[in-house]
Amino acid sequence: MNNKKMAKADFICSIIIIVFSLFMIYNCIIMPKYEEWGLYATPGMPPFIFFSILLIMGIILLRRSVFLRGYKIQIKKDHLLRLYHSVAVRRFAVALSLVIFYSFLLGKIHFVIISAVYIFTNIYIFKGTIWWINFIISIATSFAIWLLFKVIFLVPLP
Amino acid sequence: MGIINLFTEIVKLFNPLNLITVLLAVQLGIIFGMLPGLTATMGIALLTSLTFRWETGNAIIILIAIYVGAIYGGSRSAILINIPGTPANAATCLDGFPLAKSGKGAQAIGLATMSSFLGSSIGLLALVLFAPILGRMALDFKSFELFWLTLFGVAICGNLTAPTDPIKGWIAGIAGILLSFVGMEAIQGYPRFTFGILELNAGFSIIPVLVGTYGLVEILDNLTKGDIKTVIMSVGRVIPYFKDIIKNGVNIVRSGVIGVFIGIIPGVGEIIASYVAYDFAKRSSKHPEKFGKGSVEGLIASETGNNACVGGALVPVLSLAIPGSPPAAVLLAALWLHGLRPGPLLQIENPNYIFEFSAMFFYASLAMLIIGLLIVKPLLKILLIKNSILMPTIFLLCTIGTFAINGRLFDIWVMIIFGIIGYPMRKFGYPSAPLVLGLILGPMIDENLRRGLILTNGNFLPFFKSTISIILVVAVFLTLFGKTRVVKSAFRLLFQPIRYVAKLIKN
Repeated sequence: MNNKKMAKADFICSIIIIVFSLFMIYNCIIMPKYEEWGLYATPGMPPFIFFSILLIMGIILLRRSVFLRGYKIQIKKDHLLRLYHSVAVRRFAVALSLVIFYSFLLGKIHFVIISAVYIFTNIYIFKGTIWWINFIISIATSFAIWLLFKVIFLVPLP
Repeated sequence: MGIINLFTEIVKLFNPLNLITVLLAVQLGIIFGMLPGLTATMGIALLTSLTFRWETGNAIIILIAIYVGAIYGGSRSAILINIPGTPANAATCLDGFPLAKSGKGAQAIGLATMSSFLGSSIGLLALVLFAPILGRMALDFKSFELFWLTLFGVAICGNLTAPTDPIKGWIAGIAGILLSFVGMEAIQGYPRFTFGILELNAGFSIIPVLVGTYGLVEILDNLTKGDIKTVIMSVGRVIPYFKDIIKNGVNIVRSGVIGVFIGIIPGVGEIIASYVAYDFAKRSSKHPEKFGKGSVEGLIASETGNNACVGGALVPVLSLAIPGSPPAAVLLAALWLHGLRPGPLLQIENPNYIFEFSAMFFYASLAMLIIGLLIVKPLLKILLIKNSILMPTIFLLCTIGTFAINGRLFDIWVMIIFGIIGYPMRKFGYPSAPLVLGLILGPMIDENLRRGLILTNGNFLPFFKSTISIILVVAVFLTLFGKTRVVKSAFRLLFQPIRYVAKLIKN
């Protein structure tokens, strides 16, 4: 990532950090005080200190990114189109969707079946190999993992 | 005395089952290390979760073997495909790949193996000699000193894992500390930041966060990038010539010592150790022009440095419960999960454990040498496996490992959320190591700060009173503000008279 892009990323991150820190500082303040232990021993005290430090760091990051003109964020149709057509973004979206889809179905369908489907889909989409080798790899891998962990190592599987 | 204890433990651990376990685990570690995208940290994180229910001794020996094997294994891909298997082997690429391209791939692998073994041996020596001394010193630490020590660990980790932009390292470290505050706190039992989610009462388990920020991020990153690799498969004689090792004796010792000392500094790790060792070797070489073009000295320095760092990184793990590198941070978490309490109390509760641990480290290093020199060609074939086949399989293992700890699907979602958070974090320059370190050390910071304040009735002064506290406060201050103009000018002013006197003596 070049300096210009990094400054913009820093600007967005700093805003998120500042807003989040302020919200959490408020949460620390409204925590119960347990005054018989002394104010310094309240559960909200250490997080209050560290969220305050985080807030300061967020402000430093914001100041720096503003100096580097990181606030000049323009969202143009052209940028969005480039993002939409980017191979890396598509690959990331697919990989993440498959991960979420797999995790969502875990525990609802038998481990071997859902795992085999997950591996098969990944290899198919990311062009790992031809379909019948893919089929064998998916079934064999899922079954081997199930056998190794569930039967031999007695590890509980979802 | 330490060496005798080590020898006794080596003899005690000598049995066929342990030897087979170590050989297999080192082999697995080498595979983890040599596959770009799978790091030592990820390997240890994954195996920690998978071996969670095993007997402690067996589980720990496997994790140490994975660590040693993975740091070494990364040199294979660095030499043969110019991609460091783990970040620790980045410096190895500089001379390893040019050597392989000029037909000396086998020689490079052999030398990398031998220097890794020698580096590990220097690390082992440091572990046996320094860990007990540091551990005894740490017995004097009270709440105040422990608070500063843990804070220093997180601060320096942030500083060194994000050298170009330390503020991002500190933000990651503080985020880690804050994550550790989620759940029921230890003194009054109040559930902090749970927002009504029952599963959060117990806080975030270390494993799902670890596997998410290291494992899932790597998987997503590798699947996004696709497969880009050309493997040099032709290798000849791997066993190195004795004269090459003897010729580089000074280089090996120097790189080993550098690796050990960099390893001892919390959170720095093998990457910096290998680069610093490489740099020192270049500066003191008679042929610095050969560095980067296939220099044997450069290859030996980087491999000795990163493997010596492993032993060095384990010194503060055992004696202070502060990890010297990201994989050591995971190993520390694993020790805790298995009911061991590394840190000052280890010397009291289990005084011989440092030597038992060192003996395991010795076997792992020996297994690395044997496998590294004898099983080369079959292992190279693994480099040909495509990411699109390998990564989904790794994800399955990540899922099993995460689930196995508590048997909760919630942990799998935690892993995914941290994977999703960790991906942009990496892209925007926020390192994961301080986050993990903060998560591990956060409870210590919280408890020691509040306990210290309860003991002193809210008086902050004792936090700055003892000599150790003052040293640590100065260390934290210099870590955070050492690079600012004000501090630099203050130092210049402070050393002005000394420089003046030195100049006078010189003239």
